[in-house]
Amino acid sequence: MKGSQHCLIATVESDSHMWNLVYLQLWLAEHGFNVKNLGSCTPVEVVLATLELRRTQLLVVSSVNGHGHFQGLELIRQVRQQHPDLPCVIGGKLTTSEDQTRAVRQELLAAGFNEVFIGPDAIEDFENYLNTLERTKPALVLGTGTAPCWT
Amino acid sequence: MNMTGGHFQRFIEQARERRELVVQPRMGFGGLAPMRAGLAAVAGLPCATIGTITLDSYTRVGDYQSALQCLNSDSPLNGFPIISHPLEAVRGMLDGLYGPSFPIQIRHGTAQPQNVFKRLAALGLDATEGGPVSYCMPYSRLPLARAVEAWAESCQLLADATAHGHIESFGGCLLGQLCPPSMLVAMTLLEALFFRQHGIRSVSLSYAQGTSMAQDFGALQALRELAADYLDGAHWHVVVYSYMGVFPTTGHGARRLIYDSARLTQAAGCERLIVKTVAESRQIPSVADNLEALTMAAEVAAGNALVVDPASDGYRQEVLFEARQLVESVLDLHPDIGVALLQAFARGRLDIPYCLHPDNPGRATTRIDDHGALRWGNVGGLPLPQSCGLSSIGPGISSSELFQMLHYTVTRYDQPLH
Ligand code: B12
Repeated sequence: MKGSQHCLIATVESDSHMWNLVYLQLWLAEHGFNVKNLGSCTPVEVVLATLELRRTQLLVVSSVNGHGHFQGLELIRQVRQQHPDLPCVIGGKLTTSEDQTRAVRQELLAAGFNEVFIGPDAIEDFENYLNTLERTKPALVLGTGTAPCWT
Repeated sequence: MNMTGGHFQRFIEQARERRELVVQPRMGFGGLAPMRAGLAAVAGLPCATIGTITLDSYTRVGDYQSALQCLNSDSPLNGFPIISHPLEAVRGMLDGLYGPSFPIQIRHGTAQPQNVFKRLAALGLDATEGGPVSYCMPYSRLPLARAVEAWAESCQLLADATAHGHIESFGGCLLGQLCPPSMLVAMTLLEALFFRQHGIRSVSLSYAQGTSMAQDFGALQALRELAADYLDGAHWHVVVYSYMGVFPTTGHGARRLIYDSARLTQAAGCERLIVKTVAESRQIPSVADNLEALTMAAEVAAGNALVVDPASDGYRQEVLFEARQLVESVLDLHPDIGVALLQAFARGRLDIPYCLHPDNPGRATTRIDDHGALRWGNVGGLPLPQSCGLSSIGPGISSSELFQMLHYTVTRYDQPLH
């Protein structure tokens, strides 16, 4: 593989929070990814259609409204039917309480996510995970990739 | 005293006469029993409270099926699914609680709210929240044009159902953080004018606490002056929201922030406060979290007044100038305010910093200045002098700069007490 890796950011259909998506977009671009951010309330069909159209090496699902567990399961089941090997991760605040979110981690992994990132160390753990992915690092990380330039 | 309004408006007017701040939670639970218990507990507080039913986010996007599935499988919801519960059951839930001494408002974040409004009318409720921009851009990917249509229809629905319908614009919040106050003030005024154009006689204007008490106080003064100008003859009042962005994680930080929001609201002579809780940074708050926060806010507001920072007058003038400029430039576009709003976004005259909605121009940005005030970074195509922005051509923002701005309030308030 040549050039930078393509990564897709999505959330679940009921979740309209976007600061998490904006932040992850900038962060992933700084980590050398060519990022496409599908924006808030992402319909499952839009995720599937984009995966068809665009070469993607990593799917990042971020949800904080408390419905990420329920709708994340639905999303990963559909993605896995078409893309059994694509690295897919989910993170954020995935249920309506911290205890419950820790409790559903295993179920999300069993349903097909490669990793689940929750709690205060989520970003650090994600960074470690990225280092385990087989990646061709771009020679130079320039600016923010395809992220819109918020000047 | 004007006694012509509905429960909601009359309650606010009576509290205003007593100079008492009305406090209100942002509360919503999936099941009927917990929702009723929460409302009853709020009604039972000794301070002036209005009840809130916050809807879950499946209902917000029109996915009533998922809400029903969660109810049936005991999966927790992030709010009350008012459409998935049978109408009679919701009536029963409200029975004996809702009335002139305990008005209830539906808070919902729905871009196409016709079904929610029909439910509200069927239940005999008279107050809700939202707006064609503020419940679309931050809450959905629906094209703005469709939200404008849906909101026009919904206002009409409520106006036809009751002469006393009250709508609060959420324009003073938008994405909850990092938006210069003049945009919040302009948006809430424009949405109130939109409601009025579609038959709603009683409105509230909103404003979310920002990063500087002096700037917030000035902005609230400006908002009240502009409201008196633009909404002459209608019933209006101002509702303040405790900080709507990333919340402090320590108990003392969260409490001090809520405390400041109550002092601000009272000092600025505003009528109502939507109160956050110490659980905000982590998870959906419990009833107990809400009761604690409401009680504290009411006590603070009844106590000693905030000493107003003399710097606030400069902010007042600045917000007056910028907000009037924004409102006028939108109203100039078309006599139908819905059409004017659409054209304004298409031309960049309105632009919500960092909002990913496809109809948002996405050029305007925000910075926090050395005094802790929210400023335009880049004014983009907004009808404001370039000098209102700090960096008309600067470097792109990095993830860590954004993170720092998002956590400006957390950092300040979570500091250990000396
Ligand atoms: C701003 C805000 C809003 C704004 C959002 C505007 C917008 N469109 O973006 C408004 C006011 C509109 C809003 C609305 C609602 N909100 Co809100 N909101 C917040 C708030 C205050 C801050 C969120 C924020 O900006 N974070 C900044 C970003 C950068 O941080 P983050 O989202 O936490 O993401 C970080 C980590 O979680 C992690 N992460 C996240 N995703 C991923 C993914 C991966 C792969 C990795 C590695 C890491 C990761 O990394 C990020 C950077 O550190 C939080 C509470 C808080 N945190 O203080 C509540 C909160 C998220 N909201 C909540 C809720 C429930 C809602 C509503 C349903 C209303 C309600 N019932 O209260 C609606 C949702 C509407 C919908 N359809 O989804 C709850 C969620 C509860 C839960 N999960 O237990 C919270 C926690 C508040 C609460 N305590 O009740 N909200």
